Amino acid sequence: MKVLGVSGLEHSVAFKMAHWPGLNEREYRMSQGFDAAAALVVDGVVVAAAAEERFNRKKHSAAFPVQAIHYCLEEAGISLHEVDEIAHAFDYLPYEAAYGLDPVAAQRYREVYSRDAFRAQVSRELPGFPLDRVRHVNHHLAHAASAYFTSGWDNCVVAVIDGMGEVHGASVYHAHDGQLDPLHHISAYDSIGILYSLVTLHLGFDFNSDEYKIMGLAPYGDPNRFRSFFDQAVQLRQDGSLRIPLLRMNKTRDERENFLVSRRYLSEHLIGERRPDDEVTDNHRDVAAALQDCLDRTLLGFCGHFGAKTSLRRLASAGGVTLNCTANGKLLRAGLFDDVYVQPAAGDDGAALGAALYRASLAGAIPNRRSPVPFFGPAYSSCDIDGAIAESAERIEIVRFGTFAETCDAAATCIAEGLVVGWYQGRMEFGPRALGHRSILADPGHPEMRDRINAMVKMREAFRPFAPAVSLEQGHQWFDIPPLTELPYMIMTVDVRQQYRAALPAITHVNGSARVQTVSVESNKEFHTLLRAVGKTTGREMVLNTSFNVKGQPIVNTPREAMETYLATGIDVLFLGNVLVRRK
Amino acid sequence: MAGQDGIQRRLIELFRDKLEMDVPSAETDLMETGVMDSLTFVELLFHLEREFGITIPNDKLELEHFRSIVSIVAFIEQAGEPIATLGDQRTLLMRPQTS
Repeated sequence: MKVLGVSGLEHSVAFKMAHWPGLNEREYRMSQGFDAAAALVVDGVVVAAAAEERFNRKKHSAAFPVQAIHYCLEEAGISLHEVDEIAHAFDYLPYEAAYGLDPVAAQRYREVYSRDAFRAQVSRELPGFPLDRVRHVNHHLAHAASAYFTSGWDNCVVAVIDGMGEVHGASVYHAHDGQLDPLHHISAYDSIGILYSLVTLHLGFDFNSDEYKIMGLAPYGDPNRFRSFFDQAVQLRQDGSLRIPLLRMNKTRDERENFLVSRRYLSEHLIGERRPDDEVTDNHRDVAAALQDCLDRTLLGFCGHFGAKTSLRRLASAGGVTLNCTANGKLLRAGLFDDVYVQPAAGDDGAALGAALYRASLAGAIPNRRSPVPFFGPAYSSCDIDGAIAESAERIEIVRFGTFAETCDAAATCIAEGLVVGWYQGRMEFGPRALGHRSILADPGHPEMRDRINAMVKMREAFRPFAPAVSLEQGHQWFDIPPLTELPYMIMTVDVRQQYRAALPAITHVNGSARVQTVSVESNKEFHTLLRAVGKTTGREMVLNTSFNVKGQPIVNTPREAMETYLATGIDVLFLGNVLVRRK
Repeated sequence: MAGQDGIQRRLIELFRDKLEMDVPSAETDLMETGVMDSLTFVELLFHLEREFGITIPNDKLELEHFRSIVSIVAFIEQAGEPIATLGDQRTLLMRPQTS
């Protein structure tokens, strides 16, 4: 069975702009349905998956993912008519009546949320596809399926925590025997994800986008100064439910749509709103710290409650909030569960994958194996690479290597020399993290490397830390984890061992933590080969690994985009497959 | 009347405690005034099912029944005696939604 999962709500922002004109661009991000993506599952196995942003080059794009769909079909070598089902990762139909409450809500339902709206997009972009083969999966159920069916576990708790699905802000399931039994749902008006995003907006960053920056800012602050505010804001009840009165202060439609009263309350009772260009002060750092601490404690309490209730010792999770590496790391170390798995594309792009897996599971038992490192995106041929090189021939010089091992040796030498290396290999990652195929790499031991990459390459906020990628064999040597611990998705923070923190300034955060990615020969062979080579030149099988993009842009997809980004930034050298590129 | 008054009192408490809404009066039009929005309405149905032991199937939803506290009282009375054994699984909010 071939199921094509799709996420995103194409008309969401346009509708809000038409009905709430005059908001600023950041406020329009208070909408549903970003990160449109497509994922193709054949007989229960993921064949291809990619976010539309990587093709249309609009970060977090909500556009119907037609380019991602065509990529998935091409990767599988099938035509559209061979697809048995298209599964959309939203299903608002059960709430149709609720959206009839007022004319604007009803119009939004018709134009943005309804099955008809989605089917119209299918007809427009995929003409001829039978609409009776278009299906819809509840959003949180899709996320839950993405976690469960890639966990490799038969029996576990599945937690879905995001901003919101159709009407929920968090959901918990007992997954067993190929099915997902709901245990609890929390209203979107008690969504810890929405609270985190609102405070992110209040601190001058982008709602539904920049939450990871607040996570990065938090360790610089004092979590105790504003702790009592967040203690009152988020109430975890004995039955496992959450209550966030701050989100329920909005009483009119306009207030609810843009959380106007909640935001005013933050200004009056927390700190004043920061404009994006204002300096980041201790006030902002302390609020970020208290917010992150609140999230950490909330997730421990929430997930822990259902772990205890079910006596299950394994937790699988998905949903945008579960991209929060700090909270994930605390969950892993808390002892509430023996193991924690976070589906690596935990945001809404991953909901496309989950919708496809869920529909496939209804047709019969599907394999449940731990997700590989998600290189589900497109690869480009050496001809494509040569084409990108030829277009910039007058500005660059190249060296071609005969083998991948030679390429790795050359890259390792560059890294040891303190150069910043663009590293472009094979199939693109699915999900927000670059895991060694579309990466910018450097030596984590160079004291100035963090500021250099932040300022010259990434053009981003100086407070944000970089992540390390380390060979599986050496992970425990540098980080406080047991030998051979697999953390292949860069989705949890762990502590850098005390004695190495000073020697690893580029990847050690101010609190001694790091968002580590472990790399094994089995799951990420090429990147492992590189790390082994780096070990010979620097003494550490470790690199600083950050995504191959500049601020505000999606991660590069094609060789041409890699070349353009290389030439537009301060990256010292670029490896495209087995070709070394330098500026003349 | 005593039954109606009791239901009305419980409803006012439900709006206040569960939905954090102070409804001005039992006759207040919850929809026209914008007091209730789509998400709150879904929550209301969930709490009505749980609090009053009734089931409200999706295909039987008529908004008019929920226009005011007075009309909700009438709806609950019409829905019949409480069914104490109903579990969470049958409520609108808890039901896994797919097709």
